[in-house]
Amino acid sequence: MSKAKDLNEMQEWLIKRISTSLRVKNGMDPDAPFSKYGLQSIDAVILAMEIEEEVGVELPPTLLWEYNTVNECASYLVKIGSDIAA
Amino acid sequence: MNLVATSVTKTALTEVLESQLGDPKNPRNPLSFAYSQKIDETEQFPEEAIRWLYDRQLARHYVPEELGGSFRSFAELGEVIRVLSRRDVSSAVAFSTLFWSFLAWVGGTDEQKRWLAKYILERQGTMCLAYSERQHGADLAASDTVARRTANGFEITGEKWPINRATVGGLCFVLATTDRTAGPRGLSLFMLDKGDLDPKFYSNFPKILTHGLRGSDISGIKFEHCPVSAQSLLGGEGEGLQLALRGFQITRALCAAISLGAGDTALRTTLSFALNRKLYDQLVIDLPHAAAVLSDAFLDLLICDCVTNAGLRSFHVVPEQSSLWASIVKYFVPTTIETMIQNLSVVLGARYYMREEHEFGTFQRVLRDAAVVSLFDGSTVVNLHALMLQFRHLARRGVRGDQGPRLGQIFDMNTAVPAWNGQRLSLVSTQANDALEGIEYSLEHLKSERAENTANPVEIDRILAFGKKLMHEIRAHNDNFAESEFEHGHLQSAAMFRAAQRYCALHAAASCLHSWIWNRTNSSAFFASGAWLVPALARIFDKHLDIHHDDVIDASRPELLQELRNVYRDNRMFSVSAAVLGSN
Repeated sequence: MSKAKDLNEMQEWLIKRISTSLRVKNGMDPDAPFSKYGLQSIDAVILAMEIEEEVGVELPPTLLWEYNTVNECASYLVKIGSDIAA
Repeated sequence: MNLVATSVTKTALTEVLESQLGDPKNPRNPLSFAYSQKIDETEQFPEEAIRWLYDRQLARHYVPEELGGSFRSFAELGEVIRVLSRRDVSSAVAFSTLFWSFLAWVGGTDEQKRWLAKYILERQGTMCLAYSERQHGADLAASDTVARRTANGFEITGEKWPINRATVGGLCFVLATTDRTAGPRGLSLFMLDKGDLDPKFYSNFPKILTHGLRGSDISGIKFEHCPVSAQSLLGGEGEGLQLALRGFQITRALCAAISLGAGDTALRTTLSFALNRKLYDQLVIDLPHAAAVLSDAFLDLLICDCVTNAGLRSFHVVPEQSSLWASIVKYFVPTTIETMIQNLSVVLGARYYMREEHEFGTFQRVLRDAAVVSLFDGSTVVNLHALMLQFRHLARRGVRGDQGPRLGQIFDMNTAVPAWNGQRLSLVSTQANDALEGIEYSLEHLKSERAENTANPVEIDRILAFGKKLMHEIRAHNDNFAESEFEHGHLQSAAMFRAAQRYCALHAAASCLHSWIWNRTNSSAFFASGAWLVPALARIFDKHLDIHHDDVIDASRPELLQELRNVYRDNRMFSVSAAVLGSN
């Protein structure tokens, strides 16, 4: 198990993870809603489930609905002590 | 007299409803073909039919038992809809907007549920679903309809169009934006009683002229700063999209029952021609091409019945998987039956095109009316898209091997289903698909119980061989997607849509296989013999998987046609249960 990430690491990891999934080419604004990058309703749920598999804790299926930007989502994941493998 | 059946089996319910409604060919009966022709030709809303159905308490089937209604299972409700639809699709569609009440049964407070139950049961309440907008179609999240918080509740402004029963209906489920910055959490759902609204603040768009369902009220509604109470909010603020998507799972699966009823009538009215019309000194049914089309149609209906029945039962057993089952049913059944009806038109020849003559011009009306089912409540594209998004995640979840005990509950028609719990519906499946992952279990069950088998050993070996091929195809699908470069979003390739269509076909084949294995000792001799199963599987492989077994299908035709004649002669439904239909 890797050590829990701090907020910066989590933001970086999320940007990389979500950019790959959504094929974002020119970087992500950590304060922009995910819908700006084409993430819609159901695929946001699927992506949340994939993220759940990659972190050490159970996540709500509507994670990316509730926490609608990289920064909001990263803060939440750090708060609950997610343990993302490097 | 009311039409609420007291029996516990869905076949018995079908037969009670059928006996009350009688033969639709008799113009004196309610929802007769003559009536259907009249509302179609005059483009009049089926007011009398709907009143008749409410007066006979049919609406109770949509209201849960604990709220004073008769709803116990989706399989039963599907039968009610099928019985209505085989008579008049317009009336069935207009009456069945009642299934939107499930939004309240899932997301409403106890008070809202009690109110809605009374509204339906005591005030003959009707409803519409106001989601679509002229500029946004299926893109619900893009809604331009806004609900703004006020001191007393909300104020709604926006237009909903095209909406079934927007004008001739009392209640309106409206999806509106409550927070533009909150993404999927920015939508909320409102249950509005139009009787409570000031007519100054809302108006209806005129009825739209349509290709089929010409008697229906397909119109729209416009709200202009319309004040609504805080109590009309269904679920919490921001929970509208989640509730809407869960509600769709239920109604999408029930839509298949509309197609099944329409398909039954299309085949029956074609058969009544083919069994009486002589061409070249032979009955039409004895001409090889017509015989092939008719027997293929019979297979299609049996396949779709297996898919629908299991899909409806799955809501009670594996609601966690409903996002899969509902989309599969909604894609596969309407598209299969719409194609089936189109194929049958060749047998009827010129009569297929007539709005009168043979049985009140029923065929062409059913052809037009049924064509809308693959479109509404989530189109074919929407459903295939909802499935393909889940493929990689499902493939990675893999087989857990715990489906076994659930398979009998899902597929055995004579096993009671657990009470439905709408709270277990999930936006995407949290489990692998039981129908696909459970084939090995069902085949083992078949092998271990050969003593009680109803089919001959040669037939069983052929069924086992098809089962193995099916497992091979399912594995190939999962392998293909487990490590795939998956893209989220709506810009999916044509190849992904083909993969989703194949996935639905695999599910359909699996549903037929499980249905036979789990019902062969408690069903009709024909169903139990398995004589339909091998050609049904061969037909699915042939049409959807590009794996051909022409010899299998051709060899089965005499037996299929004989059964088709028997079912028609005995006035029974073209379905697994072969329920007795209304006469006189």
